[in-house]
Amino acid sequence: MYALVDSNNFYVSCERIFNPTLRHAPIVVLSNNDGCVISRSNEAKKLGIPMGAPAFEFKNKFSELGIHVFSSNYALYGDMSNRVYRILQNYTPNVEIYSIDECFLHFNNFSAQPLDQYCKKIRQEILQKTLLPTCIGIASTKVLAKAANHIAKKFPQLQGVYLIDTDEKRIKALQWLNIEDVWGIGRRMSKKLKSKGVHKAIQFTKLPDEYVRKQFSVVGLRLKKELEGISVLELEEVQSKKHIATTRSFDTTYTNKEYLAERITTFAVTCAAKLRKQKATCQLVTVFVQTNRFNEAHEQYSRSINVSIPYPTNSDIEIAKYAKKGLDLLFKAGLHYKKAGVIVGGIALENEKQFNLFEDEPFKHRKIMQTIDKLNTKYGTQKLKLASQALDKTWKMRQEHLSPNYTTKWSDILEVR
Amino acid sequence: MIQFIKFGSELEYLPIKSQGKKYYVQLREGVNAGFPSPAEDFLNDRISLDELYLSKVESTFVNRVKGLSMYPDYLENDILILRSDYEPQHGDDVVVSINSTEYTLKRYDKINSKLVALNPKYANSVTINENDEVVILGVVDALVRNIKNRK
Repeated sequence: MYALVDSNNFYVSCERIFNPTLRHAPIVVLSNNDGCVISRSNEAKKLGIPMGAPAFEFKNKFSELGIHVFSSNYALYGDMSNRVYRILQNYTPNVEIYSIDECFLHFNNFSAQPLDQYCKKIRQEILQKTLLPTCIGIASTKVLAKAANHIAKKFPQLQGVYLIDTDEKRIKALQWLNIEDVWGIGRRMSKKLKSKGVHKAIQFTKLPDEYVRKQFSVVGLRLKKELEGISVLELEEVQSKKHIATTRSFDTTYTNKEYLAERITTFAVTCAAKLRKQKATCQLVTVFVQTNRFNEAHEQYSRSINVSIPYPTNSDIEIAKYAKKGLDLLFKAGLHYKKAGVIVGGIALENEKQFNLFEDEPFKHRKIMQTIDKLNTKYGTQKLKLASQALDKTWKMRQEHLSPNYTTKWSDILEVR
Repeated sequence: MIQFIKFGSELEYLPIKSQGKKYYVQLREGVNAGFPSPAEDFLNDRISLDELYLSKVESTFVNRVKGLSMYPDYLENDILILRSDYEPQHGDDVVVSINSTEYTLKRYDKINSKLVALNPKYANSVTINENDEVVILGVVDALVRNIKNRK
């Protein structure tokens, strides 16, 4: 069985941990460079603030409605995300980070207590230790677990946990679930399905396999199988819009740090290339390493770390540099590593910055990045360092509403009276 | 073929091969016969304050005290190590918010359902009512106080 643990309005909830006066206040968190709304409290949702609302357009509305505005603080969010991950690891070694606020747990078929009771305990522990509210969906496949999570979120009487463990429950869930809310069904695919009269997930599962494969390729067919309760998806097969991951299991285990460093660098560069392809930037790099969990003779170790980058970037060099920093903090000598990965988050589109009419700096920034990339391939890393140092000075991100780094900086720790 | 040269019945001597893989071992200075130095096993260790205060990073918060509401037990600029995994017990000091107020440091009087400010000059002790929303950031586990540079 799979469980998807998802933090509710994660960025907003992180801001609330250290500011209890805002527990019931409308809050929004803005993307990189204070571009647009990327996280909303339920109160802000009720006031009609849409996801992606451009900050400059809504500026007056925010102050009229008394909405509290925050710049994104990835150092804080990364640290809180890591805390949740650590707690989850106490319950099962099979934890997969899907994005900064979502983790998949995999449970073997035996369990001392019913899984929904078990997950209620997990949820309670996360709430007590981090003050973060979460929802947990449990089902036999990842796509169904995501659907169960959706249900747990929509119906407060479920107390944040929903388990799909019978076919009856599965069908009921799919009758309720809109096709566009099925995990992995993109906008284009759901549009196409709707034009054919498929509006609910249950209708999609009634289509013949052959038809689905022809129209939506093997990806569509796999989603259909998952909805039917047949697990076919491994991690990384469905890409989140919120993050880009490059992770690999190695052919054998490695103990050598140089090898891991080389792998991590390669993964970071791959992520950067994907970002550039999507014309996007990231502001957070998650690095993880894992030993072979099936070899009980060796010491088990599984850690992830989030490193926040002070400015949005999609440069190979920058991302690799921060990923390497993460590895330095994670690496423990003498262990047999089997898997490692780099996940980038805090993704924003490059052109999102156009919302700032009076700021042409990001374009300069991008040019410099491209030049760095070119220089790098031509002359190696030495030149690059100079350029990246100069960068820090020439371009400063807009963060007018940044909260303190409560958990990562001595100068920023919370003061209590 | 490897020949073992026997020294009595307890020691074996392996002949040195000239080909094959070479292994290097760390050379420690001053290797003597007799008992090994008791420090040898701890060569790379150093006292770690993290070990003492941050053994549970997922449930530790660090705060700084402002004001004198908890004088004499707490002074301004004391650093608090809070643990959010502890269930507050009678007599514990907690960083707490009631009904969406700012966090304050208080002593928990479980018997009278009260949060007490220790300094008698501060009359801001609070009684906890049944319907209050109580948020506890953590229970004070330790405090770090700078003695040399205090004013």
